[in-house]
Amino acid sequence: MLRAAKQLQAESSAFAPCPQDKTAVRAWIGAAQAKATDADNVTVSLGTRFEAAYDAAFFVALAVLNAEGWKSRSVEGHHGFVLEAACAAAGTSDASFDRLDALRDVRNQKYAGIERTAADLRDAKAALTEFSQIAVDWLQAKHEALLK
Amino acid sequence: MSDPLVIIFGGKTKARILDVLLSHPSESYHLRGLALAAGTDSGNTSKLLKLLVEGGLVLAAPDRHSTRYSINSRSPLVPPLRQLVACAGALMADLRSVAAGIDAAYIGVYGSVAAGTDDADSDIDVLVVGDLSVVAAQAAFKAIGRKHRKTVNAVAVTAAELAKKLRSGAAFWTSIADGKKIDLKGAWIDVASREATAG
Repeated sequence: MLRAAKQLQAESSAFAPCPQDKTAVRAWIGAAQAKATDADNVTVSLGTRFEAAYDAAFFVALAVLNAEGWKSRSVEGHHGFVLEAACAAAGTSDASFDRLDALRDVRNQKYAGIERTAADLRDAKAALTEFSQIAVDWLQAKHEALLK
Repeated sequence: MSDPLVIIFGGKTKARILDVLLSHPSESYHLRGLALAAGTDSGNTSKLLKLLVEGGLVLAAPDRHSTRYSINSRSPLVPPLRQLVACAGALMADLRSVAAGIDAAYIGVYGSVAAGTDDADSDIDVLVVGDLSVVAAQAAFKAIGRKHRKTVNAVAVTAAELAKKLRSGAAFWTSIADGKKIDLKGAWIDVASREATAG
């Protein structure tokens, strides 16, 4: 069972309430689209493309959270909290969140010197597509005004 | 499938209680908390704890009007029992169940858990030798991590890449190859002998 932002706030002070911000939501969605395009750019390294796919997913998650009236705080593990709360809000399955959260883990493995592969990039883009479709559909259904 | 710990310890209650206590050596439990964690009833758990305390395997410490129980880490029997639980406990059973569904030649636990030097904060390091991404391997073990409140770190590598990395002497991979492992799927000895033949 995924934890909502309110629960994560109570457990880890991971979030603070904030007003919905139409400009910010649109900027995050736009930035996510640009990063998703970067993930397809074959002229840069696999690692850079993987990072772009992760960033795109994270931006979408931030947009979802703002639509729910929350902003992230810089506590330890806050990226994981953002992804979990966004998945909980948008109603993804646990398995879908697991695929997304795995991107975060693999992204962090770069600090251990482990290289990203073409298979990692393929699965990262698949996880991004799956999450962003669900999240944008949810935004359109629940917070359509924020996207206009 | 029969639970190996139940067979070895000769009873479900004993196996589950020892699994919980040995898997969390730095934690202490009230009777009800332990019974809840182990999925056993309080009456049988209480009787068994009395025997385990008398046998020196478990410590009982007064706590206000109650008692807290923990594994006695000073007992010479505890390190080998922890190794046993590490190989055959509920966590390994769940990891093996997930591993069985992954299309890979070999999956095993390496690092501190395999070496028996883990503590409450240790991650579970998993090596996957097969044609899947690290992303997919990592995602596959997430639910187990949630269930057992542990972080599972998976690395995935194809057999050909592993051979190449070992031949090049890459420190990270040779440390995995040389260290202790708990097999979850396939046998490391088979992987190692293939590498030796290839080399």
